[in-house]
Amino acid sequence: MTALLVGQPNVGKSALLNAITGAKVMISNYPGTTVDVSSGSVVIGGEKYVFIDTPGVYSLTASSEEEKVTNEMILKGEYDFIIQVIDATVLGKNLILTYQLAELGKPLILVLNFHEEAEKRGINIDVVRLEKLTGCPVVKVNPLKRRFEELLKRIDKATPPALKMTYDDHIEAAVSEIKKLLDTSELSKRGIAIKLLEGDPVAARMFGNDEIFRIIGSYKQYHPDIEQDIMVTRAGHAVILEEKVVEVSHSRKSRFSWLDRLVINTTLGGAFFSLGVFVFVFVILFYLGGWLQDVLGAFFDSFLQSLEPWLERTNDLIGSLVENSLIGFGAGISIAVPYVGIFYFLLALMEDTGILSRFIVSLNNIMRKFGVPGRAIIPMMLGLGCTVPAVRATRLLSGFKDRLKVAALFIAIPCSSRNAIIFGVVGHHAGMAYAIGIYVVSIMVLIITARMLGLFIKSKPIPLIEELPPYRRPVLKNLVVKAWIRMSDFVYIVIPLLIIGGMLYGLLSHYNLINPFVKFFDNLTVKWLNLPSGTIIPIIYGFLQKDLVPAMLSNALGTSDFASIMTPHQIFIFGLVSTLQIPCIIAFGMLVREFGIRRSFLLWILGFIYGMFWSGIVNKLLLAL
Amino acid sequence: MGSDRMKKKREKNHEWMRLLMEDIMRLSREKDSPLSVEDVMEDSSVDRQEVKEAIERLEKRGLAKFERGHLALTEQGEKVADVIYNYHRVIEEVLGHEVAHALEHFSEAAEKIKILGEKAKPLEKFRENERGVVAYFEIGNPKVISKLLGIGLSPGVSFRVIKYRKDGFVLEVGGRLVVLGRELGKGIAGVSMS
Repeated sequence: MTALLVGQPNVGKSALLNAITGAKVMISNYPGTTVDVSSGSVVIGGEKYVFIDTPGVYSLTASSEEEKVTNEMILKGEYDFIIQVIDATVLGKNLILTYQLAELGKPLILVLNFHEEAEKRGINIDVVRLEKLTGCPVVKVNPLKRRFEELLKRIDKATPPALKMTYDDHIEAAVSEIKKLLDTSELSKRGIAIKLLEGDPVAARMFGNDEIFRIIGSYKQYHPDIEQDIMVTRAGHAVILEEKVVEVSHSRKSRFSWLDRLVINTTLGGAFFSLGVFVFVFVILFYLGGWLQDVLGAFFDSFLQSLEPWLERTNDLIGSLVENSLIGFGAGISIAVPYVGIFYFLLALMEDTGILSRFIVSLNNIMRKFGVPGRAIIPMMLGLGCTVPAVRATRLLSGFKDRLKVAALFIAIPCSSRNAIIFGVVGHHAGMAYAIGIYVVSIMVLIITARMLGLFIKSKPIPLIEELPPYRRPVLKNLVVKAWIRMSDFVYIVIPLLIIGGMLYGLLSHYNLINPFVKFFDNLTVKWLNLPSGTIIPIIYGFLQKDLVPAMLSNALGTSDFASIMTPHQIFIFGLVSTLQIPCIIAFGMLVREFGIRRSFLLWILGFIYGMFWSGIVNKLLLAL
Repeated sequence: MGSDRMKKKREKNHEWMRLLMEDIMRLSREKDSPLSVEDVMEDSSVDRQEVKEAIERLEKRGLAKFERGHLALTEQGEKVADVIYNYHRVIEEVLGHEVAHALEHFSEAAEKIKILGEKAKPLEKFRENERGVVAYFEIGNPKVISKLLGIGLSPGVSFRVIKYRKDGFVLEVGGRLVVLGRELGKGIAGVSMS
């Protein structure tokens, strides 16, 4: 038997899955997309049950990529029943989803989570009545205390809901016309017809045809608000059903925490709060991530050392390929994993405690000035660690144009490898003031770029609608599982890319293909940037992997004492040119995956010209002063 | 919902539309069987688009239903049509003022609609700490509406404005805090309960 776990965000679906199936949770990509779906199985009463978690959705009206996945999984009907996880503190709005599921006619079990919290707040749910009205089993669970026996006991009692509702006559007329043209046995035709009428893109793709679209079109001519009418009617029924089963014993007057009063209601409080979160995240990333990087880096170095004798004996090309692919692998494990892993853990922590949505809200104003939605802070923060997963994290934004905009901004968001150049090359050899100067220029370029992109990429962002979930105590295991779900694709996609990147570097160095570039770029390096001619080599290597830049610079200059050859000004410009660059080839690979080869290539070329442009401008300006 | 362009056009044609609606109701009463768009086009010598617009208005006011190419009067519509049919002079009053105004004599439901229509104001007109009940949305994007419903803001649900922010509103809905962008201040209409 296969069951889908469905519910709104933050209702505790994954916690329930983890609790029921123990640690045996599998993570897999949903076919055709790259949204991660976790599942687990357990034997109950001699029967094997597979539970598949779906991304949290407010309703089955798809807007983001994740919601489309949930929608598609439900509409495909390749499961035996649905378990809807409900937040008992806000039953009414969860019941909208229940009505939607009821229309589709699959057997359902309703699971009430957080019912103790609801009772504490005086919200009493008449479970027997709810069961009678919905016609399907209603059970209470508490995954945090590992209490879900009732669910297991009644797991084979899933029933198609008895909830019925009638829409306005014109909607019903359209539904009955569409119904006749549908051919499906898995789900109720009425439910699919309603979804088609609602303009659901997933349903349209799976069940739509010209005749159906023609019918919908002819009804919409007279009833342009048909989608809204359906949704509002359903929500109305949910409210009425809630009123029938919920009794509020003492006043529902909620007391908001002092933190919310501070964070949400005062500008200064919001500023302090977001700054605090920033500092918290970065201090942990800097110290813990740095420490882990040292440990793992040292481990890989010693591993490479032990291979040295073997490498010397083998063929040059093979040796170089093996060595460089190992360096790439080592870089993936020792640089990316600590920062990315810790970041995702912190992100899960912020999400589960309820801090994340407050953080997004308090930064919304500033992000709006950049012309991107408040949620864009997540990929942008991640970009300070590594651009590759950051490009992927742009998925959190629902508009494609918004995603592209944020991806373009990574030109001016230095990742940890670029930070290493800023600290290791510029800070060390030219002085801290110059290093800070690079950050100042980066921020200025970021703001200017964002403003300019706003002129070219016109997106009408979906307005901010953010619910602030109550603060909750996080559970370590859930955080680890969540962080791992998000990190897994990084491990499976990025690390191979790093290995390929390393091998590419080995090939180029073996055949010495870099030197011809040097002369070609003289105009750029010597005339526009006033740098020594050879510095183009580390800059070019920077396209492959930013971590190679310091080493290649000392190769190119013939000394690791950069200050003896370059002036502090030149070092500063070199650092700037390496920072304001399109990310490495691996990030490029991720851009291709997410945005297609044409857009990525355009972004890459434009980014190169753009970075050179700014570096040159700053160079000439400083020289003129 | 309707675009601004449409709204302006409608306002300009208000007087003309009124007459056409009146004609349709009279014709419907005379014919005593469902009307087709063509019937009206012939009787009043107007074009298809105008008939559709008039029908839409009649439907919005709950006076008629258009199904499968035919127009039928609702119960309320019948009553209004009777009035139109029998007392031509009354019509001026009936459709001249808001139709809902006249309908209050006919049904209790219309009374409620009238109150909602008259008392609802956009979210941005609410004061801090003012309580209200969501009346309707004027939002074009169904995705936005679905998200609003998802966070619990559906018509009939009560809310309280907690705070005005530079970039939006903080509301309390069902014991939870919800932050909405400023753009939504015009699109959500509520009735004040304070």
